[in-house]
Amino acid sequence: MAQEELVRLEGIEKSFGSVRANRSVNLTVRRGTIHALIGENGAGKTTLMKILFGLERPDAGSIYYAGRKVEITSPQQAMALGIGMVHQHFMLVPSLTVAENVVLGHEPQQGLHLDRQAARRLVQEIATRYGLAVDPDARVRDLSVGLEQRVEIIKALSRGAELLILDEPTAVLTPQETEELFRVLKSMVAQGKTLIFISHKLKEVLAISDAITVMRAGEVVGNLKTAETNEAELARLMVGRPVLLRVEKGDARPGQPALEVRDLWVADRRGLPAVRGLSFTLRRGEILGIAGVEGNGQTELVEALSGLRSIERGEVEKDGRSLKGLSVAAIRRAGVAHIPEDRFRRGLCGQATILENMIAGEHYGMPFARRGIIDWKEAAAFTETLVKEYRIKIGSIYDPASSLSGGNAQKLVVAREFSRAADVLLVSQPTRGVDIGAIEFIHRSLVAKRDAGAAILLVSADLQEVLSLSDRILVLYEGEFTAELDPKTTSEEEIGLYMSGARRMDLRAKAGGISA
Amino acid sequence: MPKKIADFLLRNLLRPLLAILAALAIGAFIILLSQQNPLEAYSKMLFGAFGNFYRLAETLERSIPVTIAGLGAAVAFTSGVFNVGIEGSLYLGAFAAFLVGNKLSLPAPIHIPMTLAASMLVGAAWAFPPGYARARYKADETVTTILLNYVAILFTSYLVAIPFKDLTAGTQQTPPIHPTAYLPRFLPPSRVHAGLFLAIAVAIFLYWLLHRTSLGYDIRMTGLNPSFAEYAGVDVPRTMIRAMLISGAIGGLAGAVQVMGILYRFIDGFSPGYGFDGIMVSLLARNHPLGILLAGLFYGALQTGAAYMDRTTAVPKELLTSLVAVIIFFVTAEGLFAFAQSSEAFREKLRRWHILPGKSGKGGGERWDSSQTS
Repeated sequence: MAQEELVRLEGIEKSFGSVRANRSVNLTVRRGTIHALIGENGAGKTTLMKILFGLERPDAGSIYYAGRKVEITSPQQAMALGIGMVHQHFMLVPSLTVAENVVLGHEPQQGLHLDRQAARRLVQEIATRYGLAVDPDARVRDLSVGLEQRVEIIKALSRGAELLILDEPTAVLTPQETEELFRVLKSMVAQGKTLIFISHKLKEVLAISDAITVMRAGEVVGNLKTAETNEAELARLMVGRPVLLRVEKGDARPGQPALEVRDLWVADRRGLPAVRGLSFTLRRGEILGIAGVEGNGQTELVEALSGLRSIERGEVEKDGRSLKGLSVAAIRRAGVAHIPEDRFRRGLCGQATILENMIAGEHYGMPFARRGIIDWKEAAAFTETLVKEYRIKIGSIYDPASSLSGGNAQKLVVAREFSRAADVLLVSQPTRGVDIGAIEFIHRSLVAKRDAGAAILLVSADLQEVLSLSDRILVLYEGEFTAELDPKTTSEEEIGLYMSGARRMDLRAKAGGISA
Repeated sequence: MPKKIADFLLRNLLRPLLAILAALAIGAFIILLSQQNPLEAYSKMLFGAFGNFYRLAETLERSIPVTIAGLGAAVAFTSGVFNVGIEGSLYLGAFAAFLVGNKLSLPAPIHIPMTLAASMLVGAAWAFPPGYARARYKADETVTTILLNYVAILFTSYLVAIPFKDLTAGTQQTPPIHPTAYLPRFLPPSRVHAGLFLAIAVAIFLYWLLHRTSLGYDIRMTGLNPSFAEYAGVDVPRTMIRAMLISGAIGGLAGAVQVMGILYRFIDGFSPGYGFDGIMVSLLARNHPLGILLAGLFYGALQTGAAYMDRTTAVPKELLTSLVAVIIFFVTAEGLFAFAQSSEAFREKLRRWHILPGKSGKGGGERWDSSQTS
């Protein structure tokens, strides 16, 4: 069945300085479908959608909406046409209620006052119609990210959006929330709405969309029907070369224990126990994956192991030597490298140069410093070598680290930490916000490190990643392990049950598996 | 690389220059309002600062303590600690210089360094408590250092009023120091003294320290991103304390050169606020040690030029003070503005990288304002 077309973009051109973000882009979206727009970071997806939503003006090209040629010069105009957009970063006022946020800017009035009843009714009506359950009187600051997103969607719908653009809506959601969202999206389409879904997660795109447009370097490189394509083809189109989606790795050959953790207790920022009596052994030559919904103690665990957070109780030993109470510098010297979850706050200093970032942690002693004086020549030569080896795209090593894209910034952190003489690697969220090409590279580097005999602790919110990289999986729930699983025999669903605390193994009975 | 240099000059020289011009324009307007000729006033000012040997020498003389104080402020600022206590270190350092200069009798090559060292030691010691409180207990250093300034200044007032008073003098001052502790004056008959070279040496040393050493790396990273510094193994509290110690030591030095080069004794309330002026100088140069040399010279020129203008034109004294204030305000506001801008640009980047919540780029959310009133 050929649905009628709702939007047609023709020959859209947009340049920012010397960068051509969109090059003669054509896009047709049919009414009542979910149209996915995919591509790596910087491929031009968001620019194209900003043009459609009136946030950017195209240099050339035309836009047709419902068969008419239109000029969209502002978001107000886009909304008047029936185009809504849910941005990646929510634009809600935290101190206002859900209903107040929804009607912000087009408030139903009663005299000079906001008609709260009408606002509430409006939210209720939309919420029931599309299954977007949310309390209209809740303050937005009390809502979870998933609920905030619902408010954004309700807000767009309340302005009569027929076409809704969703910019990477699942980037901030848990698997369960993603499923919820998809249910909502399907019900919206069933009621005649049209959706444009921007993403770079191929599985999701295949699960939800009707048609897919792939962009690369500002151009459309493919228009496909979802039913007729697959992950490998999409990945190849996005990256421009065949990509290994499965991580290729041989069996692990676990060797001597490198890190021994016994009954570890760590407090969170508020002083409450976040890690509650964890015990495990990390061996050389293995990748131990920690799965779990974020905020279940992962951050505190890794920070305690790297010396950034103090240990309340318990013991951490590396090669029989206690790390407890040592400074960050001493733990680094003991051979523990750390790729932090928050690479821009922790892992890098944006205003410092790439060179200065590269020597972080090694700036006290040989080979980059002698008697407290830094040898910048040596450091620069080393940095240039690493940049080449890890194919980090930079202008110059004297540029600030903030000039790097997400993927390249992460490669910088990975390169730095991997180049250290460390045999224990604490790796947190190594590929979050990183594009496919770089993900593949980082995964391969991790496996290569493992095969070279490093002991790797991998913490990731991406189940797929934990499953495909780990040799052993521990599931963390509320600061305790609820399961130890073999990635070869388990499934995402099974891990999910342990992640939510719905199921729990008796790990003490299975102590052999954990500590031996 | 040439592009880099051009870019560097553009950002670090052109913009302060523009700010100075803008301030001068506002100053001209104020002068016009009082029915004087701004061109005449400014030309007098220029002459007053650089017009002949004596004027230039006075400018240099005036620049020395301000420049050194600015260098002291810059170290603390670079580590992210806003040390406003340079003035306190300066007074106590000056008094320590008097003590060593007056009580000890040594040959000059030993006496001068010892006197300088004593002032630095005392200056550093004075900066330690607020530095420690800031680093370990997060006590707001701006408040503590400002308050400690009063303690230091009034304490020296007491010392010079009772135990160390020169009974032969009419004013509150100490007896003189030995000539072996004098900093040589090398441009007679002017009072320009070797403190000038000291200022240059300190600036070069600081540049070297901040950019070539591990400690300098620690200090800069602690100032730019403490959470990153911590991750890199830097002991952040200790680095802050060290930066404060260096800052206080240089502050003490600023007081000592005034005693050893100009006054030859300690005089109650001798500083018209060199320590505070140093903060402005440091902001103007954006904490860059070599830039502070230029900024300090500019500040000295402003002071002597303005004093000369006061003497030779009918521009009233009060107006002159406000003119200096306007220029200083513009110049430092420019520095503050640039700082805010650069960190905002950085924040914007963080938003784009999904680190900070909030919108990135333009557009969206423009309903905010109207909603506030409804």
